[in-house]
Amino acid sequence: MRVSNNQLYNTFLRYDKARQGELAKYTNQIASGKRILQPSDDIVAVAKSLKIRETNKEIDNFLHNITSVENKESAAQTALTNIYEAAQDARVEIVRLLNHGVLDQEDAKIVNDYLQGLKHYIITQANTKVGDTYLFGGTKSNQAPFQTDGSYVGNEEVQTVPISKGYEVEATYNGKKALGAQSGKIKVVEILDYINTQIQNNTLNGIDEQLLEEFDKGMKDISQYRSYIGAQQKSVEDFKMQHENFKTVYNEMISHFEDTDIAQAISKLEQTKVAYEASMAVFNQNRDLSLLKYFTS
Amino acid sequence: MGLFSLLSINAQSLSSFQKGINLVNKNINNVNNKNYTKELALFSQSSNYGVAMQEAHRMYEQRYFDRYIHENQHYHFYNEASSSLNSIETLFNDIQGSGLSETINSYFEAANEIISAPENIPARETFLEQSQLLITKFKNIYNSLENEKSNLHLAMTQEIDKLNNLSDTLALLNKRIASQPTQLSNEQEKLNDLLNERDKLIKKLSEHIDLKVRYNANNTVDVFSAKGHALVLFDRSFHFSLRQRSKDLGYGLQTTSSDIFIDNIKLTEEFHAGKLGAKIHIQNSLDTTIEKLNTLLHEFAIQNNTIHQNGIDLNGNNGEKLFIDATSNSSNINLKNVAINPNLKNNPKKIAAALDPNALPSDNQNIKKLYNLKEQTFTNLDNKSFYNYYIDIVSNISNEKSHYSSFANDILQVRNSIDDKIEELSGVNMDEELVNLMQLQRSYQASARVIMVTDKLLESVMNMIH
Repeated sequence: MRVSNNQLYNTFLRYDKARQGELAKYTNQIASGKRILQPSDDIVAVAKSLKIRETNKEIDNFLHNITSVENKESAAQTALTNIYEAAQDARVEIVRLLNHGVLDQEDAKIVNDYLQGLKHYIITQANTKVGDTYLFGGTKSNQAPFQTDGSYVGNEEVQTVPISKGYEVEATYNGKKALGAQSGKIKVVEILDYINTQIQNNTLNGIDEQLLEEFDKGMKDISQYRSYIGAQQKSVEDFKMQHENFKTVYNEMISHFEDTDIAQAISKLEQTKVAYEASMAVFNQNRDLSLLKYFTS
Repeated sequence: MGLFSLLSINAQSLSSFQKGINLVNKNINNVNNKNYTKELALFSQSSNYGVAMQEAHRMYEQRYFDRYIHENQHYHFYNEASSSLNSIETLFNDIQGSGLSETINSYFEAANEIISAPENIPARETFLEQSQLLITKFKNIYNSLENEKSNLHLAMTQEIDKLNNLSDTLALLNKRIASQPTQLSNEQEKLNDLLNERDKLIKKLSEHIDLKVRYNANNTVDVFSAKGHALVLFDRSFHFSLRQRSKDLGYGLQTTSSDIFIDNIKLTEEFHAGKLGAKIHIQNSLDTTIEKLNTLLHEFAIQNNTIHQNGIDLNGNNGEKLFIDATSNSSNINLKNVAINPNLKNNPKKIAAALDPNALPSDNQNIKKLYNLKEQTFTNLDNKSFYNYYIDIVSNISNEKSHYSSFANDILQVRNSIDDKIEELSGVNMDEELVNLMQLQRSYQASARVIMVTDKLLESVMNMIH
């Protein structure tokens, strides 16, 4: 085999270029932390990774919705608990009225003031806001859903938000249902108003077992809705955990597809460096091998 | 044989060896000239006991050269296509932060913000900003692709000038080769120089286009390109020209593409090799990418508009278009004319998130529909969702790039091995030349010695006369 002088240089250049290309590739991989420098480096991994990024973003959206729903649920839960407790206090007074029967003027005023105070408290709680949003006004969340007399001016439609694929939960609540205001007015408030009227008229007519039963029904509605929100809170919490787990798995997958295996890249870089140095050393030695050397000496 | 004839025989030998040394000298001087073909001095004995340099033999193998030309045009095609696609691919490098995927996701993320708080003005403003960002990104990529196209056109123009020069030079060279006498060794050497020049030109031509070469008996060549169309016929060359034409990429989006002509015959689609062939191919790939991107944007705008127009805004009015054709307000929304509806721009309340005018402000039914567009598939997008269609665009480009760069690598190996074979035969080896030089030097010295001896003999004869 003849070897021309050009071949020596060509061969060196060819491998020198290849080694330099590899050096640049591994240096870029290590410096950027990414295994994929261009989509064509691994098309399948890029397509998969982009798809997972989309899913991850969707999970982020669900988690964002969950945070917002959780805040509202917990505010609604607190408000309903407060209302229920106030109603319980009122119930004690009603039972006392039932048991004691006659009231003198002074007692009547005290009881009435107390019940009216509870009523106002209940209405204030029913008009609970998170930020600018009234929770119990349905989709009419920009105005107080309950007027001072306890009548409902909100909406029966509610805002729902997705917290998982195909699963939506309420983010505002139908005050009519939540506070037992099917008649247009919060039932317990309605009864407290009736008691107020009777006391004003110095009579306890109508304040009987049946009224207490009605009051209990009003309380039961509130309690039921509180449980409903509680159950919803539980499922929201479950979804949150599920999403967070998935997110961790997906992030690992993205990292697996995209990120550099630093140890592997460094060892490859070292290998390439050795090969590069060897090729330079060989070239350096070989280029001096010529008859010309003996001609000149 | 007379003594004087001895003198003349050796004088001829001296001259022959001198020519041989000159040839070695030429070889040594061209040791690093890649387009040089080694020449070998072939001596023959002459009938008068002497030696004559019969031929300056060109160490050349036609079949290797032909294979080199064949592989070279394909290597340059794949290499050029791969490196051009590399810069296009950079625009869609979502992993490193460019591309549209993140922005498409952010657009829907902003819509989701409105879902959880339809009455929230900052959430609505964010949505408008994300819409604007998405449009700007679409436009940026479109402009970069169009820019790439105009660069490509410029490069094609320059390449065509170069090609025309090369074919003109080759035609002139043919003429000189045909008229070059080859009787004497120095005439042969001259022919060899011309042939080296000819091969250099053919090599250069093969970098740019499809090439078929016909070698004639008188050493001239006829060169043919795409579809067998002649580029050089003896001393005639046929010129390339470039013309631009307008092309419709759908939904009213126009672009200009370049057509290649040889001798006024349109041959654009017939080039499949060389850098010019690659550029034509990349031009088509760019058009396809812009067309797909345009389809994606159009479908995205139309689908979003349809849903948005069915909704109710925060003021209780019907929704307007989200995206419009800013030039003529037609429904032909494309990459060039797309804009956010200016009525909405500074008026986030006009985002139609609701479906029921009586359920304001927290009704989010319509924005939920808009968010669900994310999952939907569309006939115009090959039954894919927006995001998947985009991934498809990225995959197509990177597949093409990966395909070409692996072909370029394969063919480079083949071309290099042929190049090695050519070098093995035609390249100069310094050691060999130095040995040849030594050999010729010795032969020269021997002939000179014979002349000296003859001179001495003549001197003896002369002295006898005294």
